[in-house]
This record gives sequence, C-alpha cells and structure tokens, in this order.
Amino acid sequence: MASHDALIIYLVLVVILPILFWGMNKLLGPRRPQRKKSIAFECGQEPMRWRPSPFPFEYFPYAIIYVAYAVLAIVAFLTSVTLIDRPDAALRVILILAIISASSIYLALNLRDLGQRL
Amino acid sequence: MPLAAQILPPPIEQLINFITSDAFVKAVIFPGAIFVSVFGLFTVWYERKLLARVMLRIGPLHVGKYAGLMQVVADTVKFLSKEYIIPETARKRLFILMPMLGVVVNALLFAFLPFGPMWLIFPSDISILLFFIFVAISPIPLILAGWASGNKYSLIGIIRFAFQIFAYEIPLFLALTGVIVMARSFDIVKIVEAQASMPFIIPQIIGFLAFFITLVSEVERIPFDMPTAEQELVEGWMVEFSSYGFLMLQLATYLKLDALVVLTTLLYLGGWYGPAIPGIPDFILAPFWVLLKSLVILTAVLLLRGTYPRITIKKILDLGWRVLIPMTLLNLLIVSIIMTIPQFF
Repeated sequence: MASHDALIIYLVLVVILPILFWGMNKLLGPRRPQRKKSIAFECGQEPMRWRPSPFPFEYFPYAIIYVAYAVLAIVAFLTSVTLIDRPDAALRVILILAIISASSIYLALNLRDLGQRL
Repeated sequence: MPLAAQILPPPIEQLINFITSDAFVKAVIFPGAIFVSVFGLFTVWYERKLLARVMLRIGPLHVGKYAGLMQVVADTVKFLSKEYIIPETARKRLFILMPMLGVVVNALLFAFLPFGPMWLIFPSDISILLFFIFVAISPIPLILAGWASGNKYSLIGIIRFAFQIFAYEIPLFLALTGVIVMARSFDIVKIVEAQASMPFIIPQIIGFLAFFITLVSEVERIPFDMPTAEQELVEGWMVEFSSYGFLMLQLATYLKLDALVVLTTLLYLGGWYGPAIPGIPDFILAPFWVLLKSLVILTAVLLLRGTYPRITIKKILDLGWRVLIPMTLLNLLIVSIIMTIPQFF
C-alpha cells in the first residue's frame, strides 16, 4: 500500500509543478500583446499562406517497414520471453530468432537507397 | 508514549508522521520531485560546462559561488519572467497544455527507476514494461505541442520527429527484450540483482551499443537532432514556444535524457553494484554508484554533441532499420543461445 502512496504523492507533485510554473509566469511575465509578436515566425518575412502539400512520398517505404518490423518485434519478444518459462523450447526459439535475424540482415544488405525505389 | 506526542496536538503529530513517512520521503525528496528537478537542472549546467571545455571556453562562471552553478536557476527565473506569446495561428488550449503534459509524462518515468534496492517510488513486477509504455507515449505531447503552434517550421520538425522517434522505438524494445530474457524478470530491481556477478554489458555488448544509439536518437541529441536543427529549422517544433512553454519543453527533453541514462546504467552497467567503500552504509552507496555510472553515460551522450555534425533524416532512418534492428535481433539470438547452453552441459 505504501508503494501506491508514494506514486500518488509523486503524481500530484509532478502535476502541480508545471501548473505552478505557469502561474509564476502569469505573475512575473509582462503582458503587452502586439500584432508583430503574435504572427507566426517565418524568419522576419510576412507569413505566407499555407499550401496543401502532398505527403512526403519518399519516406513511405519506411512507414511500411515500420509496420512490418513492429509485428516482427512482437513475435521476437513473445518468442524469446517463452524461454523464461519453458527452457525445453529453447531450440525452436533459437531457430525462429535465427530466421528472423538472418532475413533482417539479408534485407538490410540488399535494400539500399530505399527512398528512391518507389 | 513518546514525549513529543504529549506536547504536540494530534493534527500536527499526524502531519509530522506523514512528512517523515517512507512514501513522502521517496515521492518528494529522493528519488522523487526534488531530486528529479535538481538532476534535470544539473544536466543542463553539466552540458554547458562540458561543451565549453570541449570548445576551449570557460562556460558559465559568474552566477553562483562555484563554477556558475546558479546560472541554470537564473535562466529559469529569466524564462518565467518573459511574456508567453501565443501565435495567432496556434490552437491556444493545446499550446498551453501540451508543454505541461510533456513534463508530467517524462517526469513519471522516474517513478519506475530504482536507485537502490529500497530507493524506488513504485515497485512493480512489470516495471520495465511500464517504463517502456511511458517512453512510447512521451513523444505524443511533444508532437501535439509542435502541431498546435501552427507554424511551417514546427510542422516540418514534427514530421521528422515522428519519423525518427517511431523508427527507433523498435530497436529500443528489442534491446530491452534481450535484458528481460537474460534476467528472467520484468522487474528492474530483479534485473539489476541478476547482474550481481557480471553486468549485462559483457554478454550483450551489441545490445548495449544499439540501446545507446537509440537513446541518443530518442532524446534527439546531436547527431540525431534533425527535428530541432537549430541552423536550418530554427529550433524546429519548438520555434513558437517562448518563456514558460520553452522552459517546460526543455525540461521534458532533459528529464527523458536523464531517465534513459539511468535506465542504461540499471540494465547494462550493473546498477548499484560496485566496490564497497568502508564506512559508507549501503543505502547511500547504492544511489552513489547508480549516479556515478549514469554520469559516465551522460558524459558520453553530451560529448557526441561536441564532436559530431548532424546527419540527414534519410541516414537516420536507414541507420535505424538497416543497422540497429538487425543488431538487436542478433543480440536476442546470442542471448537465447547463452541462456540455452547450460542445459546441454
């Protein structure tokens, strides 16, 4: 129970601290609004209008790789955590991990310049 | 009945009991709020002083009695006494709230980090998973903060930030898996106890290297600081934040750096195990060794800023999936082989 108490006190403190800083900023900081201050920063230029720009397609392969590896990472995680409870499954675990790592190394060596492939 | 209880009225006695209780000391003093803020401030000062030495400068000198130690406090006061400018294009509520939330989420990382067998805010059987959950959600307030500014530079910065952070979360997760399997536990305290005879850096040197590179990238330090690239993106996603907002975002990133550095010490460098110093009790010696080892890792991370140029986003992503993921998978394979060998002999 004591452990929960410490966590709750810590959580309350951690929430109060930024609010306290914000309050101090409200008290200490000046408040002199000007149009010049509140326009978006664009290196001293008059801000230009937004243009609808396409998704950076160059990086799309990385998104696909992320999804593929996220699944693989969970497979690798679950497989290797099995070792803790079932030491007799060791050979199968090693086989799966060997296949996954060998294929990832093979891919890494063969898929160069991924950005320009699409 | 103790003498104090006879003199003091019951409410004050209860207050004293509460203040001296284990939970209060851990949450407020060590390793709680006061320690976390002092550690964060110290990191900023240490970085400035160390980089100054690398560049043959003196660094902070005048504020405070020793080596400009109070410079950071003076800077904090300066930030707080500036005007908090909210741009026209910003989403106002998010613009105020997200820096706060960033600090809260990143400070909560310390709740799961033990600084000794008893110096821990929240003991849990799955503390490493809880830590990883908070590491995984910590970029979200920052991404929202960048998006809420309604600025083009912030938007470019935040897209880079999201790509980089999410690409490096998989190697981080896989490197953690290696440690979990070797220690046969999800509890960070038990993981450290499993390193009593040999720190995990020796069998898992590949995993350590991958974890270290991932750490530097997760906290976007140079050479992986594309999202905040000062010279081209004018602080990237932080560009619109002034005074309080900038202070909170900086605090959030430094807290994350500190938490990950301490985690590296606990997972790979044997945590609180170190040579005993005669005359110093264990409950002081344990945090001492953790902090000393963390300082070594912190120095390594900060020195990268003094030595390396920034690398491009394409190289960062390539390094992530082409080098780090195979490295961590290989590490996992080696760990499972090491774990299996004793069965056959």
